[in-house]
Amino acid sequence: MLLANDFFHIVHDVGSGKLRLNSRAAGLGLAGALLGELILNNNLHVASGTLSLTGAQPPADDLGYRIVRQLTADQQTRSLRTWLAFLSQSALERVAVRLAREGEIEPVKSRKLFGSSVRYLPVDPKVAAWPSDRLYGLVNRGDPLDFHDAMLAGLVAVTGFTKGVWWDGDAVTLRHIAAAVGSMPMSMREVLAHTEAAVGDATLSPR
Amino acid sequence: MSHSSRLGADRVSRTLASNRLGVPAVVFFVLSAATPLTVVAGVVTTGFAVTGIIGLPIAFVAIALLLALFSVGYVAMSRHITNAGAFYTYVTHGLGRPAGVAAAYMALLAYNLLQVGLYGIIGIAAGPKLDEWFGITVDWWVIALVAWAIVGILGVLRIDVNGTILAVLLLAEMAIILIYALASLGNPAGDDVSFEALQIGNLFESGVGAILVLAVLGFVGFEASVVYSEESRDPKRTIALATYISIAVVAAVYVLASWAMTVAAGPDNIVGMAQELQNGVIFVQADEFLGGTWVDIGEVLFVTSVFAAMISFHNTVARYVFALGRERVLPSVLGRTSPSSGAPVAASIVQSVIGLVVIVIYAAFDLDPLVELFFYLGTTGGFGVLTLVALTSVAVIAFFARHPSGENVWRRAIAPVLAMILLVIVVILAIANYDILIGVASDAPERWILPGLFVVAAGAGLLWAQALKTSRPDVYEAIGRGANAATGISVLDLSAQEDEPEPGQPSLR
Repeated sequence: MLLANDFFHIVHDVGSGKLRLNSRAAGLGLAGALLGELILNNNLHVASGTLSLTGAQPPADDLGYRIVRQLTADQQTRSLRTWLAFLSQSALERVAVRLAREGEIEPVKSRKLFGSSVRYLPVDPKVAAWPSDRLYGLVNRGDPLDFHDAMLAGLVAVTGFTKGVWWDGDAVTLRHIAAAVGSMPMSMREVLAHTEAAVGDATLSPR
Repeated sequence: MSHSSRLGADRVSRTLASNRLGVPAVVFFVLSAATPLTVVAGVVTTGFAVTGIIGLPIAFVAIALLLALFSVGYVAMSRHITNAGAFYTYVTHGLGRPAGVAAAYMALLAYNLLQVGLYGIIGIAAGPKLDEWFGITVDWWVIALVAWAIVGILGVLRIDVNGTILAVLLLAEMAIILIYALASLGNPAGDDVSFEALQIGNLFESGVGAILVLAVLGFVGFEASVVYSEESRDPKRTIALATYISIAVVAAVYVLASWAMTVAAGPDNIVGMAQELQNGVIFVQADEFLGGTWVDIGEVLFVTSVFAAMISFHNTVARYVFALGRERVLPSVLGRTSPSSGAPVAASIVQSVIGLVVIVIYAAFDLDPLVELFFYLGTTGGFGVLTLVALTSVAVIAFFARHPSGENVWRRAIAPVLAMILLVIVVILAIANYDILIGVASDAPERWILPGLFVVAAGAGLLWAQALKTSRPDVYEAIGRGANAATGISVLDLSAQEDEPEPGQPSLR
């Protein structure tokens, strides 16, 4: 599974396909997840808020491949925060397209008072609910988390969605997540830190 | 898919730039919180009545020039620090963390006073219309509680008033103020358009400190322009220009409106008229010159104006509390947001609780909502903002003394020093004339208690900074970075990243 796909499922309601997290935080979380995918795939390295490409083989998945190409094409922009801001603007849509192509969700058009809107309904609710259920269980049991799961848990936490997954969570839950996050490579921790900062900034921005 | 397959070399910068703000957008964002009718129909009228001084129009001119001078260094500094949203960030970077926390507490107090004070005038603004249209007569505090509930709910749901609605309201308010002012100028008392209220000499009369504070109250909100620094198209030009334009527009409206009131009433009569009619002065004049329909329009806009101001100040306070919670200068629970809306829920509730407590106290003790709630707390909030501006002017000088690169000597030294000297004089005059400002005897305890609140807040801030330094050095180190830096409030262990300074963040003293 891919990080951004899992995060997408986690922040959407399985039944209605509605976003359960505010859209700016969700966009930033997905942007962080997309960069996390590239770090896990060894394409990307982050240090002191700056991105660098490793030159490794681009990911097989189309979206990841396109982002690597964008990163390669725009050599002047190396700031992690700038890329998070950029990717967050289109992340919801781009990840939805990826999931729709993989047949996990399908777009449903609904007419509204003004124009129409598109929601993405899971094809199989069990598949869509699995990432959240799995993460919930892993952390609650205190199982060791691999980098993928640690990053996912971290993104849920820094976007302020902790209660959306661990509705009965307490300080112990947070300690488990913190321990897992602390074990990750520095590159991934930086992505988390800057995602958190960007989410806070979005709340502060009066716009 | 929104994304095209052709990749421009600077696609990222261009995409982000297309969302950036130009001068008109920033001016609009700043002015949308200005709610001019609240100032003209509430502050100016009550100001004439309470202070008994007619020089307010020229005081608006003086304060506009002074704030423009202050903004030279203030806007310049916003380009050199991140999290440029708040006075305390400037004070922290200029004068160190203890002063920064003190400034933060002062700002919280000032903006809360400004917000809560408005609950005193909403009943007076809405009451007559409720009576006239629906035959409902209620106490001021009933209306205040309804307004309080609406503001609280909107705050928790993060429903900002729609930008278009704000724009329409703003333009409507400006238009009605202009129409009223022209009508007043066309019907001068004794057929003589008197320029007495605009004489510079008014600034050298006794009690000038009082009218200067009232004038500052009209400009509160101008300081928000720098919030958009990082979102602006051209950081060097956009914010500076937008700030000056905002100040100029606000000044023009207030000078004209307050001067016109003195012309129509006659400079010798305006004080007596305001004391008799309170905030009704402007509407009585409009009724006489324009007729009842124009009064109805103005009175309805007055209510919406006060509402918009309440919501705006509520959100300002909530964001301030949120930012401080993020930095753990206040309890970190205040730095949390609602997942579904992204609203700073806890911070918003705290502000609402403060509002409720004040309304209940004023209702229980049967205190006067217009003078003792709206005017006392509002002017004291304005005094607080004035003090913060003065403190920030010192911080700007200190900051550029250590980081002089990138700004010319006018922006980093001459203008800030001139502004600082003048602002300190205004603060001293304000304290000296506080009795005149709130209309009490010169030995009344309120004249010391109200401005003294800021000394208490500053003292509490200094002590808290000291306590943090000894008990939570990691938190102390992060003061002034704001929500724009990784604060580790959720699960991140900050200690693992200590050796990574924020890019572009000048080191703190």
